[in-house]
Order: sequence, then C-alpha cells, then structure tokens
Amino acid sequence: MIETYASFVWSCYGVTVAVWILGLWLARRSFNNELSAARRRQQMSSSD
Amino acid sequence: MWLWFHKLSSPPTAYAIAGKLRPWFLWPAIALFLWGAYAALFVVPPDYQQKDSARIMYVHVPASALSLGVYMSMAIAAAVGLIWRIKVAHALAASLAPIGVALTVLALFTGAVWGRPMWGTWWAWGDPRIVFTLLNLFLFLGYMMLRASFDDTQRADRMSAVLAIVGSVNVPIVKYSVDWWTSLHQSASILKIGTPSIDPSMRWPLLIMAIAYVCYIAAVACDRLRAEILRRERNASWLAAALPTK
Repeated sequence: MIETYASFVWSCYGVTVAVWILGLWLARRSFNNELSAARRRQQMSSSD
Repeated sequence: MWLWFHKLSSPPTAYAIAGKLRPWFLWPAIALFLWGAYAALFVVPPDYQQKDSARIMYVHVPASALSLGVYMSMAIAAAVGLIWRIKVAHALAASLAPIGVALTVLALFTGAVWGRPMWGTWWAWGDPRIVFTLLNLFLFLGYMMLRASFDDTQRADRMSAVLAIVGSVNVPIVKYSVDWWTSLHQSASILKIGTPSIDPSMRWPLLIMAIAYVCYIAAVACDRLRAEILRRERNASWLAAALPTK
C-alpha cells in the first residue's frame, strides 16, 4: 500500500490515464470525421 | 525488400494495414498498462530513499524515453518522405507529432510532480534535460503549426520535414545532457553498457510499462495515419472500394 507521497503518485497515474484516453479519443474522432467526410463526398459524386 | 517497401508506401496498402494492426496494438496496450500499473503501485517495494514517490518513475520514464523515440521516428519518416517523395511517410510523420506532444507533456508533468518532493522544486531551469525536453515539446508544436500554416499539402510536407530533421539534433542532447553537463537528473541506469543498476524487482514493471506505451503509440498512430491518408486521398479512386458501407 502507498503510504508516502500518495497524492503525488495518484495524481501522476490519474493524469497519465487521462492523457491516454484523450489521445485515443482524439485520434478516433479525427479518423471518424475524415471517414464521414469521405463517405459524404462519395455519395455526392455518385448522385451527380 | 524494395518491392515490399514500395508496396507499403502506397496509400491504399498503408490504410488497410493500419486498420488491421490497430486492435492488435490497442488491446495489448491496455492489458499491459493495467498489469504494469498494478505492479508499479502495489507489488514493487518502495525505494529505500525516495519511498513511494519512485512509483511515479513507471509512468515518467517510458513517457520521457518514448517522446524522444517518437521524435526520431517522426524525423526519419519526414526524411524518407523528403528524399524518396513518399506521401505515406509524410502522413506518418504528421500522425506522430500529436502523440509526441502528449508524451512530452506527460513527461514534463510527471517529472515536475516527482521533482517537488524529491528535489524540492517543480521546475529547474538549470537542469539541461528539463530545458531540452521543453524544447522538444516546442519542436513538436512548431512542426504541427508549420504544417497547419500551409494550404498546399506538398509544401507543408517539405517545410515541416526540414524542421523535423533539423530538430532531431535535440534528441541526443536530451539523452546525453546528463553526462555532458551538471544535472539534477541521474545518469543512465537501464540503457547503459554493462549491467543495469536498477534492481530486477523494479525493472520488470518498468519494462511492461514501456511495452504498453509502445503499443499505445502504435495504436494511436494507426488511427491518426488512417485519418491523414483519408484527408490527403479525398479524390482518389481507390477510396470507393476501401470505404466500408454503413
């Protein structure tokens, strides 16, 4: 069990988890945005 | 080998491979992180001098080392793109920059939080490794800002590649700054000639965390690379076949 410097240790692990999740989410969001834009373009070009 | 290299550098192949590889990196990254964090927090004994604050090293050291690794990968990808005019290499370099920013911020934050109880300060301008790591963050941000400042993707690729290559000089400076100058940081204890000076009971969770970080970087890079390829290849005919229908 962590007995010393607990607030320092837990804050580091908390921020690390947050950065990991944020990085994954931003990358996925960027990919999904580009994917929907590509699909939209495809639909527009096929309807022309 | 050149045939394989040439095939990999085609956007449809890179897009497909990145999509297939992503889950193979993501789930091991999560599993290894949970395992490594559990070991680092509850299994590893406290350091005899630093006590429990040494547990911060299990997230700080991989973030610091791999922020440099990501920078070198970005610079190599940019150089490959610049020399052989491979678009996918530029796309990979652009995909790695935001990951590098996240890792460098994490390295600086966890380092500051560890430094407060151990060195008595959050930040030391006199420590070359801290200052050059901050410079590394500015290089990542500068690379991204330079790319964003051009409407023409090819011009953005060329200009940002030059910055990435020139900036790679900073990587060995960060690595060897602890040997070249007086530093609050200790010298190398794992990647050094001879036996590592870290006890095996503390070494294996660090190794697990490092592998977790590598898998995480690869998983995020796969998503970012695919997004970058889609953005660049918006008018390409291969996209029609590659895009899954809803």
